[in-house]
Amino acid sequence: MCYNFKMRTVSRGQQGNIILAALCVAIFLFFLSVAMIWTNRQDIALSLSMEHKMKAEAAARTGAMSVYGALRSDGQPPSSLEQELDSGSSWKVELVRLPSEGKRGPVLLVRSRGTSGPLSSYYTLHLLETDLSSQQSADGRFLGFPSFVASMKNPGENIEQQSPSEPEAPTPEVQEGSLEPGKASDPLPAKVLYGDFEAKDIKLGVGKTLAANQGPLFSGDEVPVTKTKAFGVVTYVPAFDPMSLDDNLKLRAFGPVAVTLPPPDDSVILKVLHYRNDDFEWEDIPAAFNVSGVPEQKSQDIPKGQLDLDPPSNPFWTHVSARMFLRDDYPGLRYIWRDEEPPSTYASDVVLLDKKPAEKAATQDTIDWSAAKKTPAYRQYTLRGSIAAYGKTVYCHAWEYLYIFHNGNRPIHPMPELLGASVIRWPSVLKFDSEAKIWTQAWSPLKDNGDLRSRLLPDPNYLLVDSKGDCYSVTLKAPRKLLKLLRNGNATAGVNVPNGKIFLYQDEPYAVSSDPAKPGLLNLVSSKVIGFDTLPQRIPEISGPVVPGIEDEELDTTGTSELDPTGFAEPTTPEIRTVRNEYNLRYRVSPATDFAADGKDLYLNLEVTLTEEEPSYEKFGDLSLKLEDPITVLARFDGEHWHILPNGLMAALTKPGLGTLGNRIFCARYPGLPKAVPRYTVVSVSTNPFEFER
Amino acid sequence: MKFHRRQLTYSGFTLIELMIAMVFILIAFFGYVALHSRILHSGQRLEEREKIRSATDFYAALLIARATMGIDSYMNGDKFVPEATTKNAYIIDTSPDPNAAQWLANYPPEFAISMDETMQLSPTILGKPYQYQWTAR
Repeated sequence: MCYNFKMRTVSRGQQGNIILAALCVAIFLFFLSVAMIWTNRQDIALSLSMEHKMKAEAAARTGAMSVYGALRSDGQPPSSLEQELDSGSSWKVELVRLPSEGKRGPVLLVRSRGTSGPLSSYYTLHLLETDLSSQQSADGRFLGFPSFVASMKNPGENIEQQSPSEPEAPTPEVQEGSLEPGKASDPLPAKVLYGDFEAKDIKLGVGKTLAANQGPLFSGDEVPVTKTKAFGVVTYVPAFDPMSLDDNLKLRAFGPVAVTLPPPDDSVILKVLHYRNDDFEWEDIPAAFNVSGVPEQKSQDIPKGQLDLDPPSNPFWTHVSARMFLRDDYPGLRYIWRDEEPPSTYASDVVLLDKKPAEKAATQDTIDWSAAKKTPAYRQYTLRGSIAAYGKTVYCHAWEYLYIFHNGNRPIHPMPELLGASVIRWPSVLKFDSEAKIWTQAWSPLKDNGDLRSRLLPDPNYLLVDSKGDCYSVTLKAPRKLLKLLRNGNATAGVNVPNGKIFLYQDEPYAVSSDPAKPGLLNLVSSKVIGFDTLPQRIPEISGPVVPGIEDEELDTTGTSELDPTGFAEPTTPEIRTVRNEYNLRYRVSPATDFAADGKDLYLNLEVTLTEEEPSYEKFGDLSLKLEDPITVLARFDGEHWHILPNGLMAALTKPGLGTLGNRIFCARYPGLPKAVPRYTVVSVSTNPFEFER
Repeated sequence: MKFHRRQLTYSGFTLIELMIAMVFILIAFFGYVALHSRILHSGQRLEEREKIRSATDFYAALLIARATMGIDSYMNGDKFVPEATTKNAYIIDTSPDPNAAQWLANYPPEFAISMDETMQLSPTILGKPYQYQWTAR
């Protein structure tokens, strides 16, 4: 058997190279490894990036919170806006201040960028910027809310703006407790703000009326009649006048005698609040007795004799007079002002002066009248009614008593008039410079001869003063008109004024608009209305896809198979629900509020009323806002925008305890007080997707 | 029968060639196996890190929520460390404490894991950052 091996022989080239084959296998395995690494690479990258992302997010949050914390506590951002963290990450904050635009107030953006490795994450806080004042003055601003005791009473002057047709509900009338200045032992606490929004409780006794405008706080409080000093006049009784003799023909009085006038119906004492050594302290303002500068009668000069003017014993009053003085021990009413207007222009108003004309007889001059004839008219004052202030000067309504000296003529009986010598009482306004400590006239229509420059009578319960020193009030008689009390003693009546309080803002008088179509603050000069259109008019509805929640302490994974392929944890076919309905907002000036103006800023309380709309989708959850009662909030108007203090409107609507601090409001300024710092409220938080460094 | 010895000698691979080829293949194979093993280990490691991340994330979220609500302590009662420069701010330690299982037991089992390794984020959080009132800044 022979095999032909030659035919089967495989040449070297045909057989191949095993080394090459092994190399190929090795290369294949290499590429297989590369492919495996490639497929695993994303897991590795994801793992690394996720940790960097978490660190970057934490750093971004840290930066935003650090800067926000500094802003909230100091009102200023920290000195450094970037920092390295122990975790190896770092943050850098950019502050972007967005000025007021349209209806929106100023907004501060805190844009924090956290970086870890190649990744950055952003955390942005949108801060609503509120401030006690819109301008920084050299003096700190002092906003106060004195305590009060409320009692229910049917108000006659409260204004219904939004719903005039609705029956007037009893609203609290502010009545003072023991707020009398000087009663430091038991003053009610007042909540005050200065520097920042931290409400402090201090014992601040205040009077019935308060006034401040770009200066210290003044307080006016009524003094009970029993504590009021009475005016007296020193007069001379002719010697041997039959009327100066009693029934036993003994001289009842001779020479100068004191005649006591009745005490005024009401009187006001004023105080000014000082800020010294980090504390507040009241200082008495001296009585406005001697404004005209005539020396006050000294007590030792007051004659002992007393001429009894009570009818019917003596129908005569006086023949000549010298001075007026105050008596602490006045025995009672001796002289009565008429109730109707004008209160008294001539001495004929003395009641029952001429009761016994038969007893009258001619008298002889026994003294030299020449000095009296040269003596100018003499004026005395008692404060009354409300007060107003501008800067360091306080203004107050007053009764002006004009004493016209005897002209030397003797009374002609049985005429009841006292010829020449007369006391006239007429309304006036006085002002007191708390720096110079001088009382002067601000408005006095009474001339020296007893004539009047204007017979318009101001309502003593209303007084405003502008920067020029012109005063405003309303007419005492209906119709209620704006009354401008000029410095020259004249007065002009202006437009009709709605019932309620009036106030001065930027040198122009305002009242609360009574027009339901134009709610707001009515300028009584230009008739323009500061409305509420710069405040939000509605709260939009919140609707969206509802993701099933966690129930029974287990994650509900229902629907996870339908997750959106983009990775968002929302079902691809979510069910839209309404979690909060739309609300319409209405505003009106709180009926009981005070108005405090300081430069461009006006502080007052607003009532916010919510009305709920129907939901667009099926209702889900309960994020409803409270609807039962109007919410009273403290508002500041800066001339363009309204600001709801301290945290904006939404916080006031949703957070309890952010309503107003009180219906009585004043705003004063003091050197040395901390300057107002802005307050920041987070209104929105946004996180941007992280990104790789480019 | 005539046998051509020379032709038989050239008909296969030499031992050297075979050994070299074996070396190549073995290097590639063991490299691949080692890489595969490494990747398997890496995958396992990635899975562990993912658990650490999720637990840290969850733990940090809980602590941030506590600080936001005004609670200034960890779940075991330890106080947060105040941040030196910012008022009412805390530096949060995001490494779960050894007793984490006690409070994690109240949460879904996905979060109830034991961790030998922790991850420190150390965020600074403000106490009550969104709670507005008149008397607090």
